[in-house]
Amino acid sequence: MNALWLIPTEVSDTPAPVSVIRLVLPQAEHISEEIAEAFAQRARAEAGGGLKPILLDITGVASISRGARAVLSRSRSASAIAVVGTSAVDRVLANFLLGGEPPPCPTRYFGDEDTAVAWLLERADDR
Amino acid sequence: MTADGGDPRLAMLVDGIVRLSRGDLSSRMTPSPVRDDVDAVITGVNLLAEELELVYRQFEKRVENRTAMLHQAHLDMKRMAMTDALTGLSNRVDLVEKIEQSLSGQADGDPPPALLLLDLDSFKNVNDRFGHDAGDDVLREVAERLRGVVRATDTVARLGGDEFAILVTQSTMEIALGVANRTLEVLAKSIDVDEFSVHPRASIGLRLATPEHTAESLLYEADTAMYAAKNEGRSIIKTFEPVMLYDRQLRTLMASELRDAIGTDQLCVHYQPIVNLCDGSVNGVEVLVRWNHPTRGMIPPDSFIPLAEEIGAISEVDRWVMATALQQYAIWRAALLVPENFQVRVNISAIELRQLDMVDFVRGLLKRMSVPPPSLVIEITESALVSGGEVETYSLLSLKQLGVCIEIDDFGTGYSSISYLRNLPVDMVKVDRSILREPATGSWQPDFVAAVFQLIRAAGLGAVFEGIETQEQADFLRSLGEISGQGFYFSRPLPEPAVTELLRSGNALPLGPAVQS
Repeated sequence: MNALWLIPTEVSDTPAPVSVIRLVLPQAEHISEEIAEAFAQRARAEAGGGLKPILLDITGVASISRGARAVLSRSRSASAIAVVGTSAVDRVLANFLLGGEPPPCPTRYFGDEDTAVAWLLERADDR
Repeated sequence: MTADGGDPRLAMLVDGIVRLSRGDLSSRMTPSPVRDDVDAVITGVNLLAEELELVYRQFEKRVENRTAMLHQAHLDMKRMAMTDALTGLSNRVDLVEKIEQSLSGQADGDPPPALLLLDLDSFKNVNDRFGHDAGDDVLREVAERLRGVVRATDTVARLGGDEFAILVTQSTMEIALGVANRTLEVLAKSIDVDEFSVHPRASIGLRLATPEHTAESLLYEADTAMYAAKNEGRSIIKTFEPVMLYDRQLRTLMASELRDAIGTDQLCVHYQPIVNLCDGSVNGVEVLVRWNHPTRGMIPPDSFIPLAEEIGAISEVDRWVMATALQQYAIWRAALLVPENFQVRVNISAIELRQLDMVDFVRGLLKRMSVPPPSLVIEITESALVSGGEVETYSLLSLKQLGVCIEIDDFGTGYSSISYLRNLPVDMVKVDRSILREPATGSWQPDFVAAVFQLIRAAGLGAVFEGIETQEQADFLRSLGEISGQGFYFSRPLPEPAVTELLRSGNALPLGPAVQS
């Protein structure tokens, strides 16, 4: 796991910039509960006790375990989660990821990052 | 993709689905790095398989848990079904099972099991006097003591009420008698109930099993032996003997015949005159029931009244006797000149005294027959009076209030304490025949008789002596004062026509030789 995968993105052209927490899962990895928990901890640290939109990039991951999926459903730092992938496999994985336990916040799968960020920001503006 | 256009991943997918469908839910397929639609299907099937496997495992776990719970519930229910709730001892079902195991598990040469049946003597009195909670305490304590007299391999059971059983496995007569004796020993110590002490004595029947026994026959024979023990007295151990079966069958037959007798006028009453000793005048009669059995002839009350009490028919007998006697008295009053102080004495059992409607019955009968209440004397044995509970006391007081006289019967046979004479709601005392006769020699002791009479007088009660057989006795009693009496010296119990004739004649008793003939 590399700390660089956790890259906070500043959105500059908005009057009150909303920071999106960007989590990129390692490609070709089997995502276990431990790995997922490490990401969740970082997200919590980043959110600083508040709620932030999260962009979760699962492109190319080998698999996501049930335990890892449960970590997502327990998330308490996300105001919304956009899951991003590119292949059909990513889409299937994402939908299993989102389809289990009722999520704690709005979630959605996107085939590209831009649309995902736009959706997240749009939701942030609505608030 | 293969050269012929077929995708090997599809074949792998088919194989994977076949494995899953066979039940191998751990089977997974590896998607290719291409991550196209086929890989997506493979990934989806993998994920579905994972879900299915998990659900299946959870389901199996749940079935396992439920099965364990069911098994535990079954064990609990079995234990409850096999246990006496009050004492925690085995119950009858469990005992029968243990007897069967013991009989069938007996290898050649093994000593047989023995069965002891115990019935607490007079336990009903504990419930009546101290209440059912106290009775339950006594039963629990008895159970605890019984546990202490057996080996770990033996079984103590409560069969219901105050009846217990002990199954002694691999026993001999000596071992079984040892258990029986230890049982009597532990029950001889009193049990404290509130501020009173209860002595839980028991009658014990014992039967050593033979190879022919079944659980049922062993229980029946031990029960028969217990029955014989109970008939013999308190704290008795009886070992089964075949003749006991005959006695029991005879008793069962007699019980059924007695029930029929009450309905078919086989019962009749005789009347024994009560005489004023001063002048020999007849001032009353004691009504005595007889059973005119179609084949065995006239049966005296001693032979069937205890049986009637046992089979719950005594109330019917008592009421029939009272109704018959009062009806007869009404006829005498109408047809003859019976003296004003004439009294009809009827015996009532302690059981009848416990019937809540007994007083109403007597009141109704007196009214229907137009008999003044003081003309009726109800005779109750000393033991019934002394051991009576609240209902008995209520009945006695109500009868007394009604104007009926209460007489202690068989006085001098029951209790050594005489202070109760002053406390009981009674008017008269009938002195038992044994007082007139010194038991060992058959001779009699006038001083003792005089002292008894003085005692009764001092308590403010009237006295009737029974069992007067000689002129000497009659003369002596007459010298003491105003006394009534009955006995063969005056007259034996007479059938109705004879006593009617006696009353019509107005003769004094005893009759002279000329009159007697």
